[in-house]
Amino acid sequence: MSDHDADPLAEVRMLLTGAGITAPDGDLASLQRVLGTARRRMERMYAVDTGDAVPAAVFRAELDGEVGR
Amino acid sequence: MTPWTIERAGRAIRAGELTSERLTEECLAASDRFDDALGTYLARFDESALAAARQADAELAAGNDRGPLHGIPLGIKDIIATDEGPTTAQSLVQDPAWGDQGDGPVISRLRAAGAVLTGKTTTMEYAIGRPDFDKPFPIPRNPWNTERWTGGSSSGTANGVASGQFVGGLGTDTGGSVRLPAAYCGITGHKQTFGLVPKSGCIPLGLSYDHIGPMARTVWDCAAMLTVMAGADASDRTSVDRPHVDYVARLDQDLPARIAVVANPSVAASASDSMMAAFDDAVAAIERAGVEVVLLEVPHYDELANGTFLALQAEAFAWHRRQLQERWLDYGRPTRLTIAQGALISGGDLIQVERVRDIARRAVIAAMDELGVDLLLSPTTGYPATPFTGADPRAVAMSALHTPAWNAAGFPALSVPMGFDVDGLPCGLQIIGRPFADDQVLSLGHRYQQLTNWHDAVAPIHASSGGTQE
Repeated sequence: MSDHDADPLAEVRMLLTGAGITAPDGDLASLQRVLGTARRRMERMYAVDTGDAVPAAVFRAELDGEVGR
Repeated sequence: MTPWTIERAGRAIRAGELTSERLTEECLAASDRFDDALGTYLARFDESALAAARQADAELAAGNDRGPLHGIPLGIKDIIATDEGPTTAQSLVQDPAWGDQGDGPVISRLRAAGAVLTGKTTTMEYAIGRPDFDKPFPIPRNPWNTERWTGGSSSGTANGVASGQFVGGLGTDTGGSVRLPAAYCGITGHKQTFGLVPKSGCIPLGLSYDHIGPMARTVWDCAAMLTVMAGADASDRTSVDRPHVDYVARLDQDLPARIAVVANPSVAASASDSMMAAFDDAVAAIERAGVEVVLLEVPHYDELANGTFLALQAEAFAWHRRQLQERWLDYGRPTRLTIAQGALISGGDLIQVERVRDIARRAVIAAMDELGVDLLLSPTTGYPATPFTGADPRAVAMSALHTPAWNAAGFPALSVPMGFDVDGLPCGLQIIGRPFADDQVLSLGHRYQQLTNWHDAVAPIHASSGGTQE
């Protein structure tokens, strides 16, 4: 367990600061409260057996301006 | 006292009983009466709308008929650029110069079809979040009860159609933002198959989940709009080149032999008893028309919904990051807190969401194949429109869980009025189809509107004030 796991507020602050965002404490506290929900949602996504599936959003190599077929 | 529909107004115009100019004047007069109370518009284009209406009349008089949208007033959600002026996204942050690009392909197509644009309608800031009373923008209110929200985020388009301020309009839908306000306001709204309609010219929210969709009083009207809006455009690489379809011409196809109700436990668990009662009545009406109704537990249904929320936050964060760095406090609090959740999602997380998205999409199609169904039904929302103050937290949290799965899947999904709850607030029936089977979805919705008259119900604010008449 990392230090951030033990302190969700510190983790939220670190993630936003790393993105160049300075948010007031009240906003950080609100985001801290939803962090657990977001993590639980993500764990449910990892619980799906995705095998070797590629992401739905797949890069296509045709030139910009061409239309999908 | 019923507001015009595109179908009936078009018929009246061609019969010489109505002109586009008079229709537009009636709509503008309705806005004079209702806009302040309902918070429909961010910008009105009265002069250019009347000029376009006169031109439409002159063209028709000269024998140049551009089709069902000729001379029809439409409202446009203010995250979609138009030639008339800036696009605000109902935000203090949005750079007005963004709108200098003018009409995107969908707006160009509507104009070429003779539509009259009456103005830019309210939304939630950047099409996300909740009503924000701290910012200097109108609060969109529900025409069935002005103490309640319209739902978001295509709020002004929904309440404007419901109150006769324009006959149809455009919304956008990333997790339900066409279907939710359509259901809350008692109108019809369609989120078409992802890629069917180009979305360039629209400020993105979730880049791979966004749709520009039609909103109107009836399915016929939405089909007429979609017929014009659909088709690939080089400016949007996610748009898909498909044969042109006249969706109005396909409305009267045979009813399907069998359809399925989405039977996942989370559907009923996140809906009120009166919403489920209205839904049961709607299903029974379709069953009486000779359609076999079976149950389908949609595979990965909750994961599709979860994935939409997670990915749209990540995609929105990617688009907004620089502005969040520089103008955090200029965003509304609900908006910035929602978008900032994208910073809590790792790169690996987003890849997994997209892997699940593809697995789930295939699994849903396989399940429909196995059951022999092309169409699914569910309530559009779990609860009707919530009040601005004193809302049941459960209703707020649970109401919008029935739509987002279909943004992740990319399937077409339509909301049509299906009655009222115990408080007299509109409820919506959601009809979902296979990718690019929008014609089947619209056809079932149209047949449902032939079997019922919920879509003819008139919002009290309109009925009580001598609104647009036909």
